[in-house]
Amino acid sequence: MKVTVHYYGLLAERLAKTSEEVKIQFNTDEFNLRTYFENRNPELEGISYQIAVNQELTEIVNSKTTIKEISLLPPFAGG
Amino acid sequence: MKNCFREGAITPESIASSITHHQVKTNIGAHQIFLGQVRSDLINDKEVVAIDYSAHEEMANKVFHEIREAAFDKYDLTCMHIYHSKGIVKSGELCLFVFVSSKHRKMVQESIVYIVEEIKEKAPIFGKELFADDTHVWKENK
Repeated sequence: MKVTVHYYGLLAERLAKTSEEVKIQFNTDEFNLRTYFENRNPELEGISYQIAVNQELTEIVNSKTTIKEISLLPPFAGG
Repeated sequence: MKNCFREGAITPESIASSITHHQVKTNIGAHQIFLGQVRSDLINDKEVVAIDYSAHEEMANKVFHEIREAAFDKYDLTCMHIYHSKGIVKSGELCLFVFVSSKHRKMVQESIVYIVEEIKEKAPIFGKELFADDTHVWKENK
């Protein structure tokens, strides 16, 4: 499936983009998004970040998940 | 969903205005206010002159809403407001305003700590700490 991925903060700076469309193919019932993104973007290795799917923090999706957006969120700095 | 973000620094005048607006709510006996201010930290011998805040705004507003709902469930509050800056806020300027009100002081004293810690932990807000020589580092809440 085609999904829009949004990058924020340090990640957007490192990858030199704030979003892109990616094609994710599920070969298994459980799909690890962190593994997928780090294989796809080796420059993410060693950077601390969380993953949100549809604005909820999670790293694992399955074939039943309807993905509207994925966000890669570097460490929070609010307040 | 309420938009809790304000462009630039939160002004002292807006805080005074918020207090004034609550004066008509005469069932309130206590307010507690938290103000986050940009501090000119020294990092590798360079002084922070400003923070440039960005956010996943939609998700952050949803998180603020959830924090608000949880705070009202946990504490007997009359009112609660959260405002956070986006964009550039200079050292010494305000970037976070949390305002809670209740009949009695114990609820506001306890709830303000809970709310601020939840914001710092859960709100997807990002801060670029700017130095005078145009370099920067990315801030991480501890």
